[in-house]
Amino acid sequence: MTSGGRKRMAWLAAAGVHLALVICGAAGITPVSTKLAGGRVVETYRAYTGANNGYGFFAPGVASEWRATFDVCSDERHCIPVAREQVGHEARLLLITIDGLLGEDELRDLIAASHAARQFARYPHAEVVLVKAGVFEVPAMAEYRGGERPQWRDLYGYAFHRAAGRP
Amino acid sequence: MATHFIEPLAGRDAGASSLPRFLAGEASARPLAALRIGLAAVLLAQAFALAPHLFLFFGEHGIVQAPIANALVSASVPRVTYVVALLAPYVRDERLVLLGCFALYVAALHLLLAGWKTRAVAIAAWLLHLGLKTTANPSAYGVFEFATIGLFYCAAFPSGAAWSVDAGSSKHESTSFEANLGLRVLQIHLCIVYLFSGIEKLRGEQWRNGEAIWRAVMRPGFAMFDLSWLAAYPFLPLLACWGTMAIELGYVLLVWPRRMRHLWVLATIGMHAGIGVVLGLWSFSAVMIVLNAAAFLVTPTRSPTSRTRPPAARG
Repeated sequence: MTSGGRKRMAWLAAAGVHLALVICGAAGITPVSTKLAGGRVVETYRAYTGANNGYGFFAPGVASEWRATFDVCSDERHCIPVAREQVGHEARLLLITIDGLLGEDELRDLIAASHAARQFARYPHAEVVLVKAGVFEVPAMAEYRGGERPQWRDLYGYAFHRAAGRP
Repeated sequence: MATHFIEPLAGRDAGASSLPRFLAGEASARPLAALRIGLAAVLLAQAFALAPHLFLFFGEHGIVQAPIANALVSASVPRVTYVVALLAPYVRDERLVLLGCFALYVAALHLLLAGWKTRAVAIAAWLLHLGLKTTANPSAYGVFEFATIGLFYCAAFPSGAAWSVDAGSSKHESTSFEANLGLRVLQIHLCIVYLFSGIEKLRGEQWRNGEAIWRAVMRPGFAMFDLSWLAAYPFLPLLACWGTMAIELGYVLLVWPRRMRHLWVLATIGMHAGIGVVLGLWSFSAVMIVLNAAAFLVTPTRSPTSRTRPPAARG
């Protein structure tokens, strides 16, 4: 085989391996255990190339939309609701994606704390920030025809206090 | 001689040599160039849309602070905080570093669009995009993932060998094995995307009974129009759900025969355009339309006997 032929075979083999990794990503399979050094190399390659992606757009079901709302308080009895940052359309999609993490049990506390830190920075005089995580409940079409309407429902609430002596 | 790419599989050349030719033949880089130009244009539009909110999503003290965002992604993937740490002795303000990375990213996208030093700028755009995506990973949705995939293909394959400053005004359009392989990888990747997406949807009761489309258009974050009237006509969401699944599940088979290809790709593009208009996911839809058009609507020039390519046209 000529060197050109060998080069082509190498390209074809690399493309085959890459597409096999794409299939693994789509199927939610980790091809090599990350406990092995080789597995970590493969995972890094998958992360760099996007071969680790799943493709279940809105599937198997469309998740409910989550949102975070905030009250800032100068003390325990004086709280006011505050609006979020005003952003454009594309940025709003990013905000929705962040709020979607409130639906994940293992991340909810972290995201709520992160939101609170942001509000403390926006309102330097706030002593307490209340973060409410709510979900938008959409009735089924038949229920909607029966008179039910979509609504926000707060499911989780957090009260974050400014640490003493911290700006 | 210009031929349609499907011929080796479905046309007169079908036979023992079909698969090798399908994978190992030579083609011009027009489809990859379309990918490069379309992707760069969409990502530039997205970058300009996000630029006013750069620190909100990408800053260390943004909505999701860096320690939390960093903990969600493997440490081996690049991110802006690494550059901040690297430049800490020289630049104290992390916002300057973020601005610099973003400016480089936008500059790389401009050069990618033009196809100047394409391989180098494609690698730069890919890695900068990856770094920015990782930095803001809690807010990164589908468009970021497909942009990573597209930019990687622009970097790995000769996307600058046509319709670019690099290719110049040469009248001889080059063909190459790498350009053909890049096109095949992109095509097969899209088939995998839609096949798995279709299977996942088919598994979901919401997609089988039409509620998925209803729930999607009723989400306040996505709703561009008041479509609550759909509840009175449940067959419409049901039809849309099954139509979506038919397009996605049929893609892997029907995008290859020449007679069905344009119809199927146009149906797929129509589906994404609908998502863009109805759900407001314009950048995601635009990237998917670019990927589809580049993979299946831009016909490459083929020269089965050619084994040479002008040096000026290599990307």
